[in-house]
Amino acid sequence: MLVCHCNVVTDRQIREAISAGAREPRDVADLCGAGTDCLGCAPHIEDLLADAVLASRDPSGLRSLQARRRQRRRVDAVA
Amino acid sequence: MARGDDRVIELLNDILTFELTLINQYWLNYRMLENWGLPGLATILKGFALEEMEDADRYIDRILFLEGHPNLQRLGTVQAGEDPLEQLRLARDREQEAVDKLNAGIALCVEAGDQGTRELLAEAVQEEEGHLDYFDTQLEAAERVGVENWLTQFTVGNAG
Repeated sequence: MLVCHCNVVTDRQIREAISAGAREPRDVADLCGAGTDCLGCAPHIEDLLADAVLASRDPSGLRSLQARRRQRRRVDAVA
Repeated sequence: MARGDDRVIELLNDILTFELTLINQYWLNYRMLENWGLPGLATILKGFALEEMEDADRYIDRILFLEGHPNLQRLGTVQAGEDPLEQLRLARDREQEAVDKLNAGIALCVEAGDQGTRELLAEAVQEEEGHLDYFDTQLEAAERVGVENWLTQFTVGNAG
């Protein structure tokens, strides 16, 4: 499935980037180019990152995931 | 008319976002399918996209009637399959989501005493069930006769 329409990146390529060590949206962007332009796919990329973190049970990954969620809630609250 | 129930306006905007997203998804499917040499299936997706556009139009009109503001800026995720079968699977899931969303919306309208919106959603849910049934049947056919055999029928048609 095509996730990032701006740079034509599939869910498979994003999962590969995560397997190769991407832990945050900006790592995904660096590795495969997804989520750098309109950000319409940002929630989907977050979901894929969350899947990987939850599967790996990596504590530091979980912390940064929670921090990003808190940040987003603050942004939503301001909007 | 006096301003409608805020929950109903929010619900209609939520469904509107869903419809606007689906229009784009089906339109993209339509042109990709056509590009892959499957005009028969492309025409059907084009028809669905146009139907969703008519639905979106009704929701916009209804929100304005209830003195709310229709949000045409917000868009969900356009789920673009990389092959015909994946496109249909994703479309099937989206239609199931639409049916669930509309059924929940109908319950809310009854609770809010908004029979006009309830009627609108009840009509829409039948249409989405029709789409769901179409995708379900096609996926079943593909499984029964094999994807290549199933796709052959769509190489003729008149998309354009």
